[in-house]
Amino acid sequence: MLSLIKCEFLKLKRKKIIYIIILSAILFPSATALLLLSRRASDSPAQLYDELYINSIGTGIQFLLPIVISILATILFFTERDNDTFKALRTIPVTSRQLVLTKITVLFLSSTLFALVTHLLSLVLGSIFFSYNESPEYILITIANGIFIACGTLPLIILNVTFSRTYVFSILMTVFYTVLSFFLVALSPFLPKTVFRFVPITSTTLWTAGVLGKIGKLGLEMYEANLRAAIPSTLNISIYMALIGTVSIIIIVKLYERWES
Amino acid sequence: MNEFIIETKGLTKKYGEQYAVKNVDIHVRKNTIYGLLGRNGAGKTTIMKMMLGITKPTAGEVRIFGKDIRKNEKEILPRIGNLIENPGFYPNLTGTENLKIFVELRGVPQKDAVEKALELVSLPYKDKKLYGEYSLGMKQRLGIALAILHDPELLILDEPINGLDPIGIAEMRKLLRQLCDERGKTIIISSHILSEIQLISDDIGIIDNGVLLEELSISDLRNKTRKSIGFLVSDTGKAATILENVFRIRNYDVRADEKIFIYDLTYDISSLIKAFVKNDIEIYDAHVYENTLEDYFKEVTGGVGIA
Repeated sequence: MLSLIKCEFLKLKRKKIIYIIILSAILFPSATALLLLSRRASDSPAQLYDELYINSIGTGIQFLLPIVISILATILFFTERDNDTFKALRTIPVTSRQLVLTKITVLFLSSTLFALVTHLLSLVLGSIFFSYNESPEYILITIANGIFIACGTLPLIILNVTFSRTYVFSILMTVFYTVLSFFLVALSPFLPKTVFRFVPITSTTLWTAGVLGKIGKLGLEMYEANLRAAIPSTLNISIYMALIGTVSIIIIVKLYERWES
Repeated sequence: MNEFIIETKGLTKKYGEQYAVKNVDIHVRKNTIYGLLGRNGAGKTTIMKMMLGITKPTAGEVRIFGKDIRKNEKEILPRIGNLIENPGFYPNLTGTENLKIFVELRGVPQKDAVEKALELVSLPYKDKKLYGEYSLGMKQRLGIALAILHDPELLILDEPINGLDPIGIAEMRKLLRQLCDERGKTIIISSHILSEIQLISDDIGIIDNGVLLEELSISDLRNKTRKSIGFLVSDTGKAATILENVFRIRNYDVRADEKIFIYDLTYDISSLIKAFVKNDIEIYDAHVYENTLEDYFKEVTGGVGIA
């Protein structure tokens, strides 16, 4: 399994889209840091450090990461098919189940890695421009976001690999999905709270806000009562994400096995 | 009898109502090269895919190293190298990087495995050229390199000389012969090119429309395809006596329909005819036969020649 994972990363060598993904990880924390520079006169460095982190999570992870995961999934799941390499793997022997489980593992690893890079960048930039003000909860929030966002994007990957096979479609669909997730928050007065719990990215956003509120890094009063009531507990969201993840993985494995046989 | 490395029993593959492969019994002897000869679409690739367990047979079984492939994949597949249809590699990687992936996945312990395999197929080891930029011949060579990378005992190669130039074909023939003769490998190759199969194989299987029509050794084939002087005579027994007693010919064959064939072309046909006539044997036809593999293939498949 370790060899398979290692090889999935080796296969990505020289793919231009990977360089774009790495660049995109740098984009949001850097842009946010630059914007926050103008507020150095009015806000304390510690406040700005926290704001940089919170913003980076919101934009760099919750908005950008689903798109990155979708693109990566498209590359990973179609490599064997596009290059006719499955027969060579099959006769090693590697089964289609082993292969697809490896690819899903790589997605989760990449998602967590991407979240950690975003976090690290916000930490470094925040320390340089403002002042180091890291909370011990931050790293947990980052890792949880990486995993939750990966789980929440898997259903989209099912749609993508079933109905399309192009990057353009996958990017458009995921952008639509993430924008919709963010839009739901704005529509909170008009929607029942189950909607927020049901949409994975919205749910992740609310959970993150909840944890940040609890440790006094975010004022929750700016949220509608309706929205505040929808904030899931850590246990609830973990169970929900595990459920979405497991069901999606089973479907993806079945789909993949059917193509490659 | 030699033990068989590959043995198929009643191997059949049906797609819908159409038979792709029908009731095929192939026998590949240890340490030999077996040539599977047939037109495009005759079922060669399907047979090889079933040998590797990639395609599931509708009926029958494939035994490799004496065991059913479908039940012993994990044990058998690592001992086989293969090339099926066109080679498939990652276009964004160099040849060396591609092979390194398979070294990793196959768990090949030798550190120089990639270098050696590339050397055998005459591809450079330190080359920045990506697989996507390879020519057809280079792709094919890399495919062969992958097949021999883990030093397997058995090679299953589907059209291995596809896309190679004449020099490349000769090199490949030499390489495969070497692997068989010097390193004890067993090889099965398929091709639609008669002369290649004839040049390289120890045993030949002729397949047409999914049916294995004949399986024979190269020496049997040589007998069936060699040049001969053929006579159609009224009394083959008498003619045979004359050949033996007067001309001291042993190398002849009496076949049905009053036909007698002499496989030594050094004899003068006119003196043979004179001797027959003198002994009251009537001669209806006298001919030098040159039976090529192509003629034989036509005869066996009962159709037009091969593409």
